[in-house]
Amino acid sequence: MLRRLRALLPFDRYIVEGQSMAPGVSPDERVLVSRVAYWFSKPKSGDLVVLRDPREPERLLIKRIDEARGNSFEVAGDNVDASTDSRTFGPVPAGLILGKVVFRY
Amino acid sequence: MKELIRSSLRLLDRISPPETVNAHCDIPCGIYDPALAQTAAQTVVRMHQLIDGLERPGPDAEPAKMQAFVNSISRYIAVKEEHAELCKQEVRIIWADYFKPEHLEDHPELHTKVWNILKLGSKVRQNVDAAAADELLASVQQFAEAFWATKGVATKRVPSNQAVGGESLVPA
Repeated sequence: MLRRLRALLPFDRYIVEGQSMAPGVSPDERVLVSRVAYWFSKPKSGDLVVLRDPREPERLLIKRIDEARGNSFEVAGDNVDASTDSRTFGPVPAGLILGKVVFRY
Repeated sequence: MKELIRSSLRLLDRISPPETVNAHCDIPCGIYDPALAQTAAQTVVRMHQLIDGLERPGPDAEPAKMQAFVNSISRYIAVKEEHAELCKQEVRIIWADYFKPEHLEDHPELHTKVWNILKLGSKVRQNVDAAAADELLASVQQFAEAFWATKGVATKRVPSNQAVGGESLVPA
């Protein structure tokens, strides 16, 4: 029931684990992610996004868009020493980006 | 207003917990070593040897003998379970975190090999199957060879010098 309700809403809620976005986003912080934000516009540099790990699609990551390259996007953590990102797994196709962080709580 | 949204969302989270998203780090220490997977696979082979060599108490055996048998076999099976899973985990980490798409050019069979290792890892848990355990070890050693090859490091096989016998694959 709740799951069905979730699928109807244009937002997803996530809880952040790990240090790669510190100090901007802290572990245990919660974020509200809009699934529709990129229906009409493309992700742009500086956007905070939730994406699937290209190497392990079951795992979800939170990163910042570093650079748009056509329909692929370089993503990076804010805390470069503690982030695995496009430096390791390369640019991320748009299809793996699930949504944009629109609210933090 | 923001506070209201915040507290409503927190309340919603309590009713239906949010999914976890990783601000993820492999800690780019870049330290990977298939030796751990190999040791785990050797342990699985060794447990098969011990299970095979364990004296079965007959139907008229004293309770103490029966108990000792059940105790030993349970311990061997527990270690077999644990190390088969450990072997899968170590291989999965190197496969997912270390290997990159460009490595596939020289190792196009990598995904199939890893898949096979994970299946063998499950097979040796489900059954007592010495042949599968040997195959698991051999596959992990091939995987280790491929891993070292991507670093331009030659490998060699040396006597394991362990109770399990056989060989270990090490950087040359």
